[in-house]
Amino acid sequence: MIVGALPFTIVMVLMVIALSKALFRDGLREKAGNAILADAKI
Amino acid sequence: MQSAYRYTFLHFGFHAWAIYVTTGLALAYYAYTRDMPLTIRTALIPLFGKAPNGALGHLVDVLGVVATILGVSATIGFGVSQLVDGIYAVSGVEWLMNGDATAPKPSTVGLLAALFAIMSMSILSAISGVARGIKYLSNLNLVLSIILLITFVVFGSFLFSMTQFGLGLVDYILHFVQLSFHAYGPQSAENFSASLPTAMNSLPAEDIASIYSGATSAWGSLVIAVPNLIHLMLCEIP
Repeated sequence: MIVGALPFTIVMVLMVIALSKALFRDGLREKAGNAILADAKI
Repeated sequence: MQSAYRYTFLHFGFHAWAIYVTTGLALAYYAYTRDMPLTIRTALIPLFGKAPNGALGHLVDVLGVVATILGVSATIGFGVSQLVDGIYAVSGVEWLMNGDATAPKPSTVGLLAALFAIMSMSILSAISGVARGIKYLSNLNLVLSIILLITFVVFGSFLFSMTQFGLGLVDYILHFVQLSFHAYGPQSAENFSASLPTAMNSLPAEDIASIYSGATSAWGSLVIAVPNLIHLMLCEIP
């Protein structure tokens, strides 16, 4: 019975990793964007 | 009592909400920040690039639909039976039950009528949108919950329930990791009967079979613990 839930568990784990990666990259983009804006002001 | 609270918290506490939040947050994030469709495959794009547009995406979406169907069917299956029991307890309408006075169970007609009523309400709620049907139902649900809580506070043993609630919550947090990784394996009927408290040994075999059935069900804590908790809350504890 527990094995039956394995495919759904795998999808959930992948979703968590994908969301973490997307949020982390958003943070990097935001930092890079702010740096570019700061350079442009100078 | 401790076990009832522990498993009720496990099934309806942080563990359950973690699953809802992960799915909801992933879908909402891609839909509202990237204008992508509200599908499970969308959530995997940062990990697999364009691969979810093909067979992998179909597989993931099919799994999502199957999980939804299984979840909804279990909820509606138990909900319909409880609804019929509840309406019969309040109204005494005979045709809802099978006519067996010693062990009344919902009749097929009663179950089908309740299923039709629930499905109609849920379809109406879904097609009317979040701003109308779902909002009204959510508000009604909240108001009824508050009325139920006030009923317990006024007519039940509120101090006892709150003490148990606090103890149960602490117990749940202390056993959080252990419960998270515990693989549930139901006991055999014989072992279950042997492990019951001695005071319960005098119960008829049908009652013990009924308790075993509830305790080994995936919805065990709901079927057994919640009615017991409600009963205890409404009864004065000496």
